[in-house]
Amino acid sequence: MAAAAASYEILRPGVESLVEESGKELPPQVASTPPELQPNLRVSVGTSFPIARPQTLHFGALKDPAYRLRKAIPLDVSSEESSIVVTWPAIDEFGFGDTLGAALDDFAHTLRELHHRLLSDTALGPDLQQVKSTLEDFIEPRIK
Amino acid sequence: MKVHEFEKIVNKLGMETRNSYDRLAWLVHEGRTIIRTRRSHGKGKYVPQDKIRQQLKVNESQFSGLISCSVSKEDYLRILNEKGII
Repeated sequence: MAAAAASYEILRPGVESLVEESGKELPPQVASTPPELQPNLRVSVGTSFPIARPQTLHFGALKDPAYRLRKAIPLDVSSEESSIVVTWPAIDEFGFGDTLGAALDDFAHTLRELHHRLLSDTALGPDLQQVKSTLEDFIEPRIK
Repeated sequence: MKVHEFEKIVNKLGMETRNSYDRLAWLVHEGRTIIRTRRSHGKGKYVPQDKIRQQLKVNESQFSGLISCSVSKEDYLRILNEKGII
């Protein structure tokens, strides 16, 4: 270690005043103190790092030319078999995809189709009637 | 869950299907639509088993029975009836 430290010197930057005398030698450069090495760094590898993906989010982009969301839909976000899944537990509806964006697009598509089908279907069982009622609470026609 | 297992349930229950953005399936009983579910197109696509099970309103054991042969359509309708869905 000592041999390695002696094999180089770090020069200090700066300006030195010189007396204008011809033939005078330049002042010697002064070696600065070598920087101290950082103590041992510790690198932790584990599964407890925070995940950037939220566990819940509010969805507000129905992307329907005729209908809009009256209020944001609360979605649970999870990861299953390398797919991202978003779920609206209130009506057991979901969307999924390779990314969160793809899952949200899938959910929007699904929600539009479900909404259109339930609007046109007058004979529904109690569960789907409840789903329709929930959708009507969140979705309203756009004002023309 | 495999695509053919989804199709097995759909066929067993005699669900109405429509190919749209996804493959949509609806169970119509005595003139009323009572259950809906769906899957993506394509055989290699991921099928979220647990989400489909929840849409069909059955527990894991009953869902396995739907995929195999131990839960028939009559059994399934009885399950829905007990849950007040029919």
